[in-house]
Amino acid sequence: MEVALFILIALVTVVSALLVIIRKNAVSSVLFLVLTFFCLAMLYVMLGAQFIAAMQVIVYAGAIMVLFIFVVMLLNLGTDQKWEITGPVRKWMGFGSAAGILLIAVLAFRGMQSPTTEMDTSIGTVSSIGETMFQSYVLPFEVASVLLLAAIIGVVAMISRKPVDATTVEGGNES
Amino acid sequence: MTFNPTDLLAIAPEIAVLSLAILVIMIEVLISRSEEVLQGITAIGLLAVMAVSIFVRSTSANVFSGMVANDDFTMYLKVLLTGIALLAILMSKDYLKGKNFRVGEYYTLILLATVGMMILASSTDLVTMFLGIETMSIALYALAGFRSECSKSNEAAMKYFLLGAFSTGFLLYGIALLYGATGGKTNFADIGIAITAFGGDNPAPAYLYAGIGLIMVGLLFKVAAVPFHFWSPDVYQGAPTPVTAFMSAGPKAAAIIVFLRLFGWALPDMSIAWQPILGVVAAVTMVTGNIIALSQQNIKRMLAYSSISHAGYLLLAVIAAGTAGIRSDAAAGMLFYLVAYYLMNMGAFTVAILVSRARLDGDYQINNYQGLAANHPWIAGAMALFMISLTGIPPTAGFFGKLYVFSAAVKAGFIPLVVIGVLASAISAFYYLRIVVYMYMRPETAESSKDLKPTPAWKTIMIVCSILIIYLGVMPGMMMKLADSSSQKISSPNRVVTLK
Amino acid sequence: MSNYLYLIPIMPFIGFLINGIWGKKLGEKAAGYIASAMIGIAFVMSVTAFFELLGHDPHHRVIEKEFFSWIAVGDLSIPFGILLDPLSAVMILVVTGVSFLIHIYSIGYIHGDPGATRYFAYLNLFVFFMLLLVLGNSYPIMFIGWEGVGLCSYLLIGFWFTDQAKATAGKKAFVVNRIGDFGFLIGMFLIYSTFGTLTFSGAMHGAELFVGSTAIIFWMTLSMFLGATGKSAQLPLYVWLPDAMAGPTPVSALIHAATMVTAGVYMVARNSFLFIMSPGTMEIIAWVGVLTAIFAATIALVQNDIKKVLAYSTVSQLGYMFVGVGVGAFAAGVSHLVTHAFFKALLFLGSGSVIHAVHHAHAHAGFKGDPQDIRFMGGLRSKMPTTFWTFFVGCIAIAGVPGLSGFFSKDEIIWMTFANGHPAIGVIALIAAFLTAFYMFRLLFLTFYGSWRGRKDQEDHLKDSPKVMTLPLTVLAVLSIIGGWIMIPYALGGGMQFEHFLEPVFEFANNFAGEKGHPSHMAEYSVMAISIILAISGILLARAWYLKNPDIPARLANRSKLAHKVLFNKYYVDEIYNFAFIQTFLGLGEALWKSFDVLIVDGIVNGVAKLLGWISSVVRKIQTGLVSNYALMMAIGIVAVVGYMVWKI
Repeated sequence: MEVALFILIALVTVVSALLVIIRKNAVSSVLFLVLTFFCLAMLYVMLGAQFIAAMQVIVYAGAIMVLFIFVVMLLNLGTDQKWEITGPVRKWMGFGSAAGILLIAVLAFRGMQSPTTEMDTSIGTVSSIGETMFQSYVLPFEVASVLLLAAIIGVVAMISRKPVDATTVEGGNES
Repeated sequence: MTFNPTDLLAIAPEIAVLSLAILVIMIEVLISRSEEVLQGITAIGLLAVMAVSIFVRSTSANVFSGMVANDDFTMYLKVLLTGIALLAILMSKDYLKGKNFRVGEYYTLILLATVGMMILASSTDLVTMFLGIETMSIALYALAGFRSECSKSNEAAMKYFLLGAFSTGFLLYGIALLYGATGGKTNFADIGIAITAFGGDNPAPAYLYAGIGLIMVGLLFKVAAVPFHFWSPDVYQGAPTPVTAFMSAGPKAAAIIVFLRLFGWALPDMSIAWQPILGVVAAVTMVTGNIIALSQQNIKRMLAYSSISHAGYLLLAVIAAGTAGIRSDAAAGMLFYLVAYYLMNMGAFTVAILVSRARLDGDYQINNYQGLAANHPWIAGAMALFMISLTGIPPTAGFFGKLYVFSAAVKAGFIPLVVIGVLASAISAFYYLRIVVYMYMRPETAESSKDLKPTPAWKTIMIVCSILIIYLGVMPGMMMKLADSSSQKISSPNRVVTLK
Repeated sequence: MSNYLYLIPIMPFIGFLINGIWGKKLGEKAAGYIASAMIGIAFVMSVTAFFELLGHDPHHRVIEKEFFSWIAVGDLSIPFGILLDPLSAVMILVVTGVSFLIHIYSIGYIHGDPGATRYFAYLNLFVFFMLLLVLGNSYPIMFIGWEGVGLCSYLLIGFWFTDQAKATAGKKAFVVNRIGDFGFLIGMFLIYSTFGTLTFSGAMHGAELFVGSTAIIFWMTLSMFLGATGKSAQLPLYVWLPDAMAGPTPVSALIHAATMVTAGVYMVARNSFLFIMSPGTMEIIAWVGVLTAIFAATIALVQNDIKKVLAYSTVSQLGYMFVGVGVGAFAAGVSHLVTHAFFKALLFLGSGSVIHAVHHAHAHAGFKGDPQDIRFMGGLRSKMPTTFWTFFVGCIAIAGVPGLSGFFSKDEIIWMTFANGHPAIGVIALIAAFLTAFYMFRLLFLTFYGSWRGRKDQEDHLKDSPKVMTLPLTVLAVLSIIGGWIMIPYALGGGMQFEHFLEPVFEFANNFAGEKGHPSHMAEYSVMAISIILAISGILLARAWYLKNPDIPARLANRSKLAHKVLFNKYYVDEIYNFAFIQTFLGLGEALWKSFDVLIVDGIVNGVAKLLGWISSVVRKIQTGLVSNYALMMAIGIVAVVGYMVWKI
């Protein structure tokens, strides 16, 4: 029963993730992304990580995706943005290497045995996550905040420019 | 283990750089937008950080539950990384003038990238390693695209970001596989212990190998080894030159160090599997990097390919570290090499900025160096020294760096690789010396007789780099001793399990 | 003195610093005097050190001073030390002595050149590195000297960089030397990995205790010999030396005749204990030496540039030295190194004096011509008597006329080839000796005999060079005559004092090789007689062709056009190398770049597509094309790396 459920959810995850990149319409891509996140949340639940599942739904599927959809709607991206790969040879090489990676991934799991240890059902609780995060993982937790700071400043720096004045021409064709 | 406040001393340099970053951006917003003020604060702050790195220490070897190392080796790396940031910032001041950059963000991002590099270089856990890589990379993506008015720069940032994200995916997948295969371990030392359990009728699972391969790919991308190097020439060319200098020294150093730690301390028992493939990558990197550099006409691209080939030499140390008993030699060689490489590369980029600025079109063509020696004997002399050191000719720091790394590889028995390395560096003489020939043996042109107007900051960089290169080339003993004694005591702390 | 040995190399370094920093203020004259004085002091100190060494009992003639621990990490310890033994004592005497004379000569030669102070600074720096090379007690110090002299030679060849060809020659010298240095480095690594030490004494100790496969010794010595072929201009890496003649003539005399190019011979001699353990390498050395000797001698037969003839002659003579060390006669090789330093420096300086005079004559007559072409010289004997006489002495010394230095040293080498059982090499060496006598006297006759073949108005301005130039010539001429008198073999009643002096250095090698038995004096006399006859007939043939019947050579050249053309064009080696290596490498670089970068920019794929005529549509926006292609290449790399890892198990 559990296995069947897992396979079902996993299939939906993979298919919807594929659709995210295959769909040409940005809005439907984003909606498929929401679906992917929901499926991931379900997988977390099956692993006993209830808290992370809840976070996944609230933060990703909820807040972040809403932002995405707003941006997509506001920018009004049409469907005419073609990102086709040109040239049949390149296409085949792309398929070939993707298939190669897939083959390796499959090969890598040959002879794998399912884990014998009992699953610890308490690992996904808020208290155990909190304890882990603020004790053994306190440093990575803080570093993650530095990462976000860098990302914010980076984005601000890239999108907000000083007004262009005449002096900027110099060095413009530096290359 | 519960969090111990004295652990903070171990990451005091990181905290200091981060505070400095926040301070700079706050000052820009609230007090002053003056380039001089911001640069002065950043530079002085970084000098202070160096002092902090040396004097503020935590005595405990196991800090933050084994997430980061706390030893002399790590301390030297932090000093080195701070030094790289410091020179990049000195280099930037006059470069930014009139360039319409947001100076506050620029310095802040360099500092944040430095924090990421420090975390990365000191990490002894896959989690901190990953976060360090990402912090560093995100700041660098933004820095590469800082010349917003220049399409090349935007293109560079975009490429770097897309390919970086691509490689991150593989790195993360590799980490997940390694985690699974070792029974839930992310700590380097723990992984090493878990791997010793394999063997006999309990063979290591195939996905452990796949995981190692994928992590290798992710790190090879960061050090720009062939065939994961494609981003680097374009990005080096497109990014603002001080950022290019910074990128060619800092991230490469941090990534190669974590490469060494992971493969030398967590995966030495798997060396039969990874040494050969890494050996092939190193050989191909050394040879192609040098050969492609031969045909470059743009000095930034040339230095990009040269830095690819230097990554190849450094990989030799990683490979040697997989052999029992050699790893601390390899680490010492790498530390020395990184210092030498940092000095000569920073110097070379400074001269590149100087020369290109004097040109009407501001470009970086090698032709611009014609007859430079006639009017600027000191600058040409410094550039010649940097080139000679990059080639690895004594008595310069570059020679001893190579000697040290190569002799570790010889000790580990990789003589064919060393032969390829030495041959590749013989090839490199062609293109490094081409600059020297242009400077000394071509008649000067109207362009090259123009005053280059080196500002005090640039002069300082050139003088400091030249003196240190010669010093390390003539008297390498002290630095080698430092590198050696600190690498003998590299610690790779275990995770202490605390969950109830 | 032994405590102050380090001062010997320091002196020229001080000279370099003074001239390098304050040269422009000091002016040309002062710079020349300072540079010469520094070398002079170093020479006096070398002589003192030499006599101090002589005072020791022959088996304790080693002074090894370690000044400080230079590199000490883990089990690797390299002291910064100086090793003075008979071999290095001889070398420092030759280096400081000859370079002192050449410095003095340079004061006259370089007079009036705007770069004169730079010239003296480089020259001093060169001597510093050369002394480091011969005095160092470990491989790394030797290597630093080795690279340093290469660097200085590069700077000095390209000294007159206004001339594009000269700058290129400098670069060529440097790059070819890099190939040799690659061998040196590999050899050094192998020594380190085999013996665990990098000092000479340590390696010697290691060699004594060495048990195991000599294959490693073979590769070790062969790599080092590759280094020697680069520095000492042997086949196949000799190509840079003739081009190096683009530099000022005193530089050719000092660096490209007397000192730097002999570094390879010194290195083999210094490592005699290793080389002797690998008969394979020794065989290769001897053959490379003798083939170079005859190969270069044939080229020298038809060259018209006075310095080119001397350059090929140098290559050829260096070949002899390698024959000497290659057949195990290390002392004979070093003897020839010493005598060659005297007479070849003399010949180069003499040619410099000629060029100097002809150049000034040309300048006075307002004529722009090549002052080095012997076809437009002649009859200089009466115009430049001192130059002529000294040059004459140099010629008979190199040709092997009995009684002069070249005779004793060269003959010893040829004799040792027979005595040590390499008759084929000996025969080739004898033929090369005949050619040597011929081309040297061709040069002499064309330059100094007959009548002036230039314009009359030039002839009037020809005059001998100033004292400051002729004085060194005279000293060198005297040395070329008497220099060999300490090498006279027993067969001629001599004492071979020089060989005995060097003996302790090669003790290990000689013991290892074992006693060869004593061939009779009779055999030695007959080899000697043949070599004398060949030398005399070479001279006489040159006399007949170039003095008595000057039309013979032209007719001969006409009759065998092909042979002459091949020789004149130096067997087309430069062209072949250019095609085979330089073009290939540059092409490869370009191709790799194109394939890795440009082609991937537009796609290997697009290239293939184009080829197949598939492409018709647009080339997409460059960014997207780029990144997806890069990602594609990365994906292929990932498949390779991870695939290997998974496959491997």
